[in-house]
Amino acid sequence: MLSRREFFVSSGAGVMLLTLGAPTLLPKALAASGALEVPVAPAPFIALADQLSGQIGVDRELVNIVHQKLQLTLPGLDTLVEQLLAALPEVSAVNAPADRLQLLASKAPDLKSLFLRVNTALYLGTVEDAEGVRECVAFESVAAYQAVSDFVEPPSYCTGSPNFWVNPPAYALQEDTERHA
Amino acid sequence: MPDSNSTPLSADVVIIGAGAAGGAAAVKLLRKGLSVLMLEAGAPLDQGMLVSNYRNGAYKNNHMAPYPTMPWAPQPNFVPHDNGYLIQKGPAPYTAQYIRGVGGTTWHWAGQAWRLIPNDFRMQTLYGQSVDWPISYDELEPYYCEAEIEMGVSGGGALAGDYGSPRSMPYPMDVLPLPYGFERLRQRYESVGLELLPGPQARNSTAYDDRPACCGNNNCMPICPIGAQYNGSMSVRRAQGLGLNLISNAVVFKLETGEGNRIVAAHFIDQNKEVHRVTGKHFLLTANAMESVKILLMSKDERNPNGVANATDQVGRRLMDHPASAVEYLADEPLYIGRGPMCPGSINNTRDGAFRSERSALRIDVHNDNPTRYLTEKYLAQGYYGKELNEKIKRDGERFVLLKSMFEMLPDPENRIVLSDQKDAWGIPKMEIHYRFPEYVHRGYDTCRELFADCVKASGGSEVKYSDRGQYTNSQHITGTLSMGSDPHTSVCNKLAQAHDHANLYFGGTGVMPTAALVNSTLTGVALSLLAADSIIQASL
Repeated sequence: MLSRREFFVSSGAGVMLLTLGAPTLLPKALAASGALEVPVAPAPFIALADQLSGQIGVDRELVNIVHQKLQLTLPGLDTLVEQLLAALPEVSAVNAPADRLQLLASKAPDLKSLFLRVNTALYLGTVEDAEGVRECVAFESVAAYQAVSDFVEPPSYCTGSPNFWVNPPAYALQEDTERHA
Repeated sequence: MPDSNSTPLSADVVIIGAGAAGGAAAVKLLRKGLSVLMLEAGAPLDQGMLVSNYRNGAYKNNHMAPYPTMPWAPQPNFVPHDNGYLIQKGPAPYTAQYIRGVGGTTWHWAGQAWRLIPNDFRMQTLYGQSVDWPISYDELEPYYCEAEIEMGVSGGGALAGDYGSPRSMPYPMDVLPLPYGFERLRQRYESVGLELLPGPQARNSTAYDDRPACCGNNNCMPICPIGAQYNGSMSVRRAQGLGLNLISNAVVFKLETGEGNRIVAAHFIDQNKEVHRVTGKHFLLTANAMESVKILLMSKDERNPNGVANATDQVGRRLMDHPASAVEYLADEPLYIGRGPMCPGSINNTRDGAFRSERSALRIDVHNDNPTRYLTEKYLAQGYYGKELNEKIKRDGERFVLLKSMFEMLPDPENRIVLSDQKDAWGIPKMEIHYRFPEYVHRGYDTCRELFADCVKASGGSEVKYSDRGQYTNSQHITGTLSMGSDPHTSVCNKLAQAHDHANLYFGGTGVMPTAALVNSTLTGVALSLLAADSIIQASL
């Protein structure tokens, strides 16, 4: 019976797994659109992305791509970005999340739309074109997976060994240890 | 691909459909020295490409999305829009998802490899419901063993034992252990009498069949990235090593009959729209419970004006699945769902009892799908953003629980597949689906709703959301349509899985099941296919 390590060595599957498990997989959509040469997003857009993502440290390539994609479907994007940035302090003062959306809509429907679209792109890695067709622009680097990186990997990735899942994640064990110290 | 003028293709056994059922049967037949030719409508599929398709896909909750559709082998897809391949005639939708390609739908299954229990075979005798099978559990048991070895099933252990399905052999591999959160839920659900057990899975708990042990990529559906989970392409590949002649992109549209109403040939059309004829001594149809029906209904001739194997108009009837309902909630402690395989454990002490005379039995799967995307999408739409959103995703992600129940559908002859007047791009008729839920299932839901509430209470649940009565999703356990039985007026094949109407035509897969019982059906479908292979071997002696 082969061990897992022996299997990977003997079958070459390790090469496959390493490839599949590489930290960044360039989406086809990005490759096709020449993602490596995507212009840097304007500073206000970067500031907006940072605020909307709670300064979680969203991948800058993703921010640039999102800006580029939104430009294609949102005329006057950069002006809207400035308006949304200006509105965020007022939005953040509203307690109920649904009321925030209402507030943005009352200022301008496009502001609410931009708010949702940028958030969706940063957190889920998808953008929609003018016809509503969804496109993936990022996967493992999106903000949603950054938020949970302490305890779970993006699906299809794995950095643990077999049966690692029987234990709680390391940070939980650490917190438990500290509680009982 | 040969053209229609080339040397005729022929074999001892012609298998139609290159999924788990066809692949396992091919291995068995080849090992007995029979020649086998296999026809598959779809194309070969590459694991690396499928993983890439998944990661680059915009609809990650659609398990069909990574699987390319060939114009000559369309397959159902409902996200983002219904592609119209299956025509829903209602009243209930039947949103089947299956893959047409080498390996079949086990490319994106959850790997749950359950056996039926003995009472499942005697529903009429014991409970006055549906029908008895023409075979007993004991008669199918040796084929379960074969199927488990072929697929590589891990299961059993101190907690689970044999799951109420007596065994003549141990599981090929030890059971995969429950994730941390499942163990916590197991302890808490005990207080309300519900037993959460680690299930049998066609997933390696150790290296097996030259494949590695599962390392918890949590992507069993739509594609296991490392091949720790079995899929039908593995059996097909093994069969090829034994001499299988596999022809992919071969869409069978007609079975030709001859003297004595025996099947003499299968006709297929290829990706270039050229037509070919394949002859054989025996034919085994394993093109899933829907596509197999289509082939039979298209095969009309003077001897068989209703189609092959359909003298009594039973082909395509008794279509079943396991209608599913769900509850989601947040537990009062972190459980860290999303680590390990996607369906590692379930509640099963609700599968059998006298209540089956009145309402559907049920079993409850605890889902281990990474909930991050689902929760994030929900909270974004509600207006969360920034640090508040990040903290909510993390906190709720740690505590999220999703339970899904399955109900036992009854074999209703009016739930059926018929051919449509609409054609696909290759001129093959599409299928119309007629489907309805019986009160038997609704009453099962009512009981399940109470059990869900017990689970929620036992684990301090909040933010609870139940699915509605009557609003059930498909579990993608396509069963019935080629029912095994003793009476040709209520079934399509006999206890040998041999067509009532044709001495050399056999069926494998889940379509043969006369009742759906209450567990994921793939292992039973493969076992029935191995039974059919055995029947062919006996007939060849």
